[in-house]
Amino acid sequence: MKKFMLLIREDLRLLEKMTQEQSEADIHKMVGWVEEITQSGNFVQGDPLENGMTLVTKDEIISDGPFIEAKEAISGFTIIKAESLQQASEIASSCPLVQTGQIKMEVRPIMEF
Amino acid sequence: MTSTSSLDHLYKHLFAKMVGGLVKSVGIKNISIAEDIVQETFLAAHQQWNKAIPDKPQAWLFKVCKNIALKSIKNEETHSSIEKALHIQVEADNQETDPVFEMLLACAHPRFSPKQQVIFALRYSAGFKVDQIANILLSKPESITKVLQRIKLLIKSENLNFLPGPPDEATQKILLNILYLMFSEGYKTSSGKSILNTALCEDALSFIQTIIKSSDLSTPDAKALYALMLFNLSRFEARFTKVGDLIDLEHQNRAHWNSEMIKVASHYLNEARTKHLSKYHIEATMAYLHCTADSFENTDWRKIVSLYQKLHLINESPFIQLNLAIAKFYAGNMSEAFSQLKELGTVTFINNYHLYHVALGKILDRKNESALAIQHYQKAITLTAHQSEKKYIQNLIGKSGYSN
Repeated sequence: MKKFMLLIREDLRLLEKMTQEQSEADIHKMVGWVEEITQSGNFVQGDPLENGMTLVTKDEIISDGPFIEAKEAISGFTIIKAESLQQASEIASSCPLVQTGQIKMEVRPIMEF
Repeated sequence: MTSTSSLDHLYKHLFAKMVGGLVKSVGIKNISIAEDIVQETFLAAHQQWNKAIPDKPQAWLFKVCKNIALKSIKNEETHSSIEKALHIQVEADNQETDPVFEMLLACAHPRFSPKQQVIFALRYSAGFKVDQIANILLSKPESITKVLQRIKLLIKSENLNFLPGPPDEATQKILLNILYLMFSEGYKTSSGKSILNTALCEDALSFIQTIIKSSDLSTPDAKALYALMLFNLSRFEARFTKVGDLIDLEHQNRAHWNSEMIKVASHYLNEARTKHLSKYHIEATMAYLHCTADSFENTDWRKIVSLYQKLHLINESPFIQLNLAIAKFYAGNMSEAFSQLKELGTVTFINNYHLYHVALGKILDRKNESALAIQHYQKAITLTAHQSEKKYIQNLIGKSGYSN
């Protein structure tokens, strides 16, 4: 099996407005999903990300992000093992937060040298 | 037996056989057509059996199914194969190529996710209805229907077919994982679905028996998985009190474990010996150590620690590290276990996993720190949705501080 990184994208402005209960409920759903893909032998690791960020370039360190114009940004990541990019995508689409449309996942094969 | 209860029984027993038989003729890409025909058959039975149940209900169903199939499928060439497929079904229950097993092989495709594979197997090999599957997986019927539709779409759009001849090694691996997951879902403890649970474990067991009996499919991994299922089943009943409350491994009455079954399981684990170790070998060996220990304390925890280390090499995950740390604690390595557990708490998914806090609570209880233990138990209660687990943890809180 190959490793894949699932980059979780969501609207950070919505995320900031979320109440504690809402975000706890979301984490609860994610834990259920992670438990499920652990049992099937697919989960490797993963974590949500905090909102604070800097952008480091050749010339400067910008510290008042989010920086992108688009409203979506990366809010977490998961690394899984899967047979193929297709299977990894099916696994990603089984995430309950993907199904409600709250998050999107970018599925990327991890390069092996 | 009333007509409804006998029909429910026949549905579970025959739905997958009939759909599988029809799929042999019409091809897996037409699985929806096959399914509609079988549904119509059972609807007819439901309407007509109210007056009188036929003498040979099974033969009645196959005959009606065949007639509906011949009427709804226009292709003449398919007709003879439908006649044949469904005729054989009535004549002999145990034929060489069981369509139910072929449906199981069909979903062991690397294109599907394990969850899709399990849901497909529950529907088209084990014959559970959609609402029963939702009940088993603690999901909603709409979600299950959606997954099934997605699989059927993939079968059609990617032109997936039954592979002729014996399955290759990769397919066999997937097949075992499907059965492992099916069994685990059946073995999981949640209230209100015990009859379904038992049926599910029995189905998984019967499929693995088919594999072991087959010269093409029987492998050391399959035998190890069979042993693992039997070890777990030997404790099936002992996990609950008479009123259905959960009892953990430590407090189960070991005299209630099925010693005959443990013997059979040990036999198969021995037969499964091979150079490489699969996760089934490792988990079955752990189950063996638990099943043959005379008490929780006298379990060979150091061996279990080394098995979790091996398992982590095969399947690296913080959840296995969690079990490893717990095993280390019981093996007497308390300070190392405790610091590993604390460190695991920095992983969000672990810190929000109820069993992590149950484990910490139990360990703190043993260290006579019941105030802290209770905090973790209370956190654990908020993290599980299962009433039976909440009740179990509530019990731990009640006992906290009195156990030593």
